[in-house]
Amino acid sequence: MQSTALKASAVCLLGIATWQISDAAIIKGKAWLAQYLLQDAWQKTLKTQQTIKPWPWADHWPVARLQIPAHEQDLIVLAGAAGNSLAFAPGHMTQTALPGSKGLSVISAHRDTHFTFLRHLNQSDEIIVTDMHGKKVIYQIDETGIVDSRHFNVNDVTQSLVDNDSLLMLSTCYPFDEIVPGGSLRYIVMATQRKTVYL
Amino acid sequence: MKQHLYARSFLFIFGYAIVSALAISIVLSVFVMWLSSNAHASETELPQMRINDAKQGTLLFKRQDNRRQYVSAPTLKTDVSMKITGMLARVTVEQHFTNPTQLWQEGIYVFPLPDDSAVDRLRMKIGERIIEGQIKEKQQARKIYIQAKKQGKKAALIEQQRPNIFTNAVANIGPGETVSITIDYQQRLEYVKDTFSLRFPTVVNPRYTPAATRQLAEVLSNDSPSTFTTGGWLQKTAITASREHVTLDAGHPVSINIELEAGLPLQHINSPYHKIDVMRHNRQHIITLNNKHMPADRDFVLSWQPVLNRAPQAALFTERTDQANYTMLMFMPPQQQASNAVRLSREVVFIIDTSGSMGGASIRQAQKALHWATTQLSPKDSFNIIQFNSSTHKLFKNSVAANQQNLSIAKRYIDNLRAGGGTEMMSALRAALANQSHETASRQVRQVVFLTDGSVSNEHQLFNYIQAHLRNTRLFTVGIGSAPNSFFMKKAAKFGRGTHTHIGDLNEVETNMRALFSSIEKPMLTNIKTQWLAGTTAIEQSDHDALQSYPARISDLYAGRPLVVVARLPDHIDGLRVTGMVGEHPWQRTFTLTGGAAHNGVAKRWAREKIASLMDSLQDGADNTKVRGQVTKTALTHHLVSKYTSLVAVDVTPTRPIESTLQTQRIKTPLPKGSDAKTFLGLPKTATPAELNLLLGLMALLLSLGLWFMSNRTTRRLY
Repeated sequence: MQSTALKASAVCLLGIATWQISDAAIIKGKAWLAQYLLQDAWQKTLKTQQTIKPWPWADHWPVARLQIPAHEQDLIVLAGAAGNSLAFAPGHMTQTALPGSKGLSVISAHRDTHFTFLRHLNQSDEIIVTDMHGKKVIYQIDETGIVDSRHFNVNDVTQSLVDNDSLLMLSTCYPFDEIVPGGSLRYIVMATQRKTVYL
Repeated sequence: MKQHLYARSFLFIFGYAIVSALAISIVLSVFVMWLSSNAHASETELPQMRINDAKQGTLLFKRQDNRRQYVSAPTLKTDVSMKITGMLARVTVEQHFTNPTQLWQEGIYVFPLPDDSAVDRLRMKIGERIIEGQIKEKQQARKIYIQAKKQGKKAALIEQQRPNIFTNAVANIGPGETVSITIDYQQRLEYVKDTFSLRFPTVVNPRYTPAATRQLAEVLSNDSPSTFTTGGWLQKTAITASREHVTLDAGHPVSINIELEAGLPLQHINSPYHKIDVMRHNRQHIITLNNKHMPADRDFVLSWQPVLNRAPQAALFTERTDQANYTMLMFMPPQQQASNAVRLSREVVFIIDTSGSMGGASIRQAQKALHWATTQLSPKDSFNIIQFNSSTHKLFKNSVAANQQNLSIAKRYIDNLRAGGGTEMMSALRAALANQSHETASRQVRQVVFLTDGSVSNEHQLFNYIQAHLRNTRLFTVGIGSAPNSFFMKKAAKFGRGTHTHIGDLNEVETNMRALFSSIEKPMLTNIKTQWLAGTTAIEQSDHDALQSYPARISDLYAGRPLVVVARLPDHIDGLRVTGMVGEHPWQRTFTLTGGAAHNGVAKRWAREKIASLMDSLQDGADNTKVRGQVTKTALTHHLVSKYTSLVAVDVTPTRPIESTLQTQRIKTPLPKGSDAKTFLGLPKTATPAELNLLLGLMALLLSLGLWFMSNRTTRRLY
């Protein structure tokens, strides 16, 4: 009798394990696979100069390509920094300037998928952004820091910009190793435009 | 039998499911871990994280002892009292700094004052003691302040950052302590269309610095005391250069108390943006805010109107000091219309600022003003609309006739204006002033109406351009929003030989635009010259060092606006002759300078006008060092804060124990009401529950395996 009960709970736990692990796998897998699937849409975007949805039911589209050679990162950035796009790729906060253009542009991604590497970025690392028109902009990292998202207003930074400033802010949740999501701290990387190269 | 078969196949399927679930779980967890480690692949030694200093409590900062902590800045409460007599107002601003923390703090507050304010007194109140501030040359004042700060003495320093922006730094405010700083200044009243008014600004709009003047801005920011920087990252990225040390806040309380002695029977007293209480007390009116305190998020304006036919047409105020005689003369231009009835056709170019700072209520006011203005055009007139933010866009390539078709195009264009981007004002001015069409008939009046909040910091460059390229055009500035940069508005209109109007509220659009349009049709008096007289002989200003009269160059007068001359006069001068042109006819009037009311403050006014005139002369290419010397001398003599002089007050005894360190905090300057920038844009949530899922899953898996083996062992023991 006892063994049946034990077996039954073992099976239940196995069920839970499968469910939890599949969830984790879906999150990680989606994030990993999507980058390959987005390539096609990005190439089309460059060719047609129009926003291309990667799959028919998608509510986002690629807006830029983000490369950090020193850390072997090459990512397609989607429009919008809400959960729907962040599941697949880093997302561009639509209220900020487009990546590669004048002003402050903010790109966010999950700390445990696309932006895990953010903690390893160093001052003066280069970030290359390719915009929808194929324009390549090279940014250089000025600062990294931790802010509290309850008090840190992105508009404050935008407000204080000097005209020709082209600033890129990468943000992700902090601390990186925190198991439970939902904290208010963010790790940010600030980079300033160095030069523009046309393809 | 059949049932047994069912049971067996069920068991088989069940077992199969369990095994595959186990396999899937294990494979998936390996997959997840591989993906995670993939992301970590480039991982090397964990670099020491750079944690930033705290700024206004928005940035979390880590202290040496690894404890996270917020530092809050000293809080501020402001009491304003004004005494208004004649054409001048004497204002006392009391700022109470309270330090809510357990640390010794230095508070730095950036605050606006009227652009023509003559700041002449500083008092620091600690408990019951009052320490009077001294006027010093700027660098010297800074040295005194920094030394006192280091020694742990309480000290206050008032510096002028721009003609209408000042900073107040207070060092060594102890834990829980309050230090009160009192600043006195004098300002001139506006007198337009029989209405007196005065403005008390409370907010600083964040200024926009165009790229080309970045270096200039950096010099400016270097110019501010270097010890003030807290070293946060916002400072290191080129941002602060243009930030003007302005940080943003919801606003701290301000109370206002006014004694108005108009000297004339009044029709009404009005405050367009605040509710006020007015009490009559003999010849005085006592005015207070209805709410006692107002949040510092928009300018306070008070206006009053003498009863009909009692509006003064001229006024004379004098002050005699030990050194000299000072005179202030105000008079209205001839009111008879130079109306030869025929209205000349004109070309009106509207420039509208659609930069980010215009977002919110401002852009709506500007749109309404533009709509109204276009309805005032007659078909004979021609017009164009230019909008600018980071770039400039013209509605029409050249000005077009104001016919129905073009007006409806304009209407749609105005409706679609949106605010956003930088404030590249120069290119817009260029577009309006550079290619003045050759065919512009000499009889055609060319007017540029410029709607903006003037949130720029390259003012002087813009003035230069206006002055150099104005030619036949007249520039009229319309200040928009609850806190426009009135220094820019007034000076731009002065160099543009036009007038300045202000719209602070959607309801004011029509009245104020109507007033503007009626006055800009034609200036009442042009080509104005003044000549001081001794008896009937004209005295040349250049012959007499003692004789100095301001403004040095008098711009055209428009209907309803007075001419105000402030002069230091030798004893034998007793008259002033003003000459000019009314339309095409010469006009002349002579004033005898006898009588007049004695009025304290005329000398200060004169000194302030002299400084303004000297600073303006820099636009004409006057020698920098020479101007600096003259301004410093005048400011020191008259105890005035200027670009080159500051007020500093230092307590005698040190209060801060040397072993406790001093924290520097900027006190947030509130943002104007209705500004879009006030909206909070937070960073998105960017953590997935994947790791949590994996951890829970693995734990469940382990537990499940453990239970399974345990159950097997129990089974074996049983049989």
